[in-house]
Amino acid sequence: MAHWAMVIDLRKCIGCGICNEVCEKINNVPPGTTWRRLVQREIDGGQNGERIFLPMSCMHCVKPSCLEVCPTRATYRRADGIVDINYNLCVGCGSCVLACPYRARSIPIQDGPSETVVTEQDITVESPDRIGICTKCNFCLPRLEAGLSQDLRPGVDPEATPQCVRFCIADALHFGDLDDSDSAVSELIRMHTTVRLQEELGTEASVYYIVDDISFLTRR
Amino acid sequence: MELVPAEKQKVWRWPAVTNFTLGGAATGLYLLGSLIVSLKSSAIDGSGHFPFKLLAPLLSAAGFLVLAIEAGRPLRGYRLFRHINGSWISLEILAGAIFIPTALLDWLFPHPLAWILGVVAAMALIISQGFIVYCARAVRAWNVALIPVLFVTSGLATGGGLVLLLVALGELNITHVAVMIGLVCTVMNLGVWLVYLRRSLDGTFRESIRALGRPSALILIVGVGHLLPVLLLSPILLRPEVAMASEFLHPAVVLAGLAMVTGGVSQKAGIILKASHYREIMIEC
Repeated sequence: MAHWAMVIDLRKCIGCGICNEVCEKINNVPPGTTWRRLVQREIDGGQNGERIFLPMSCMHCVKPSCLEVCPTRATYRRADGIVDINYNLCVGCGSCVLACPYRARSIPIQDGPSETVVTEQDITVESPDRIGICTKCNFCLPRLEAGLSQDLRPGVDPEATPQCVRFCIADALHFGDLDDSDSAVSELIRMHTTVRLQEELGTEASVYYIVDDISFLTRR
Repeated sequence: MELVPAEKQKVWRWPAVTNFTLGGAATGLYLLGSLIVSLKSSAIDGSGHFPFKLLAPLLSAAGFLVLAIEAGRPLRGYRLFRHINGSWISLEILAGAIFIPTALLDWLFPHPLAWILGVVAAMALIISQGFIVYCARAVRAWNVALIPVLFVTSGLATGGGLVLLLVALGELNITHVAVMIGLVCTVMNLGVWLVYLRRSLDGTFRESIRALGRPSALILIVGVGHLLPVLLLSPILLRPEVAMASEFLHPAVVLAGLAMVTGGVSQKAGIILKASHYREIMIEC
């Protein structure tokens, strides 16, 4: 069985945000929420104008905190490592949002003080079935499954690959099978210095960041 | 290198505070009321005059109803039982589903088995609430081992306040037992609270609990919620013969009870609404 994972090359990411745009459109992400975020930070106080861009989404952890706390088992982890949500089971209690140390989950709501406010028009027109329940990245699961059923290779064949990876113009995002030692992601991890976020929490994220030259920049 | 700074959660708000407060107070009231009755205190002339078995389940039910406002799809609530062996929310709902009808049934038709079941469910409920908060790993000041302990002591202290109110307003004989229990719960909760505030784990934790150490919070939670009841209740234990004859006895006990309830509400609101910063997201290079 595969273990789907993503490798993000921070040396190459230019912060264009196309991955976010594509994700929202293709996955019909509920208004006011996002499956991906692009974090931008200046290095060394921005004196040299250097910045780091860090694309983030659900980390599809091997030991996900969100899964443990979900009272309805709406959140589940598939054998191939993808952490998904059964929207028909979620009650929108918010416990998974507060358990995820990557802030990768959100609940679109009708009104309220949070940034996830949507209008009545959005609710009617866009995705009313996902208002009030949790939502997050699923590695474009329907596309991946459809591709696999046609014997396509996720990470290699664009039709079977998460769309953020497919449309990344900087070739910073890579997707593939971590259990396949010949896959692009396995090779990248072997060849480069990589880190996973919040490793001290023991979640074992499936998203790796290449930080070879980043370490050089932060030391300067 | 910090990439995403700590910021307050906006997912759980006043409905969650209400549920945690009422749930803790209800179970605290039920457990302490059961303790007092089992000690056959002369303050209680039969459980019918000391309606903790009625008030506790009603408070707990009110907490769950208010919480339903916060859930995105409350009508799917029956699905909350699907993860009993793993999720503390499932366990809390199960404990509540047992506690509320059992306690009401025991109030209507007193029976030792119903009472025991009610006590066990109340214990499960008060414990599960603390672990629900503890399991929010993204929130630094919640994900500390002291939180489940704090939720138990806070629930008992708030419940102790309700016991004092019921005893005083019900014009029952106020004995050492009720006052002693209220005092012990208050001191115990104060001790755990101060240990929690004095913890110095990391920058995010300190930033989170900073609001709880401000003068206004200290006055409300520590001063009104704990020290005032201690000041009011201690003389009753130290000089019982004088206190029992005093006309200030009932007002003092009522005031102590109100102060303890105020402290409990402030404590839960402080934890859920103020000490609720997400962990910062760092990258180690």
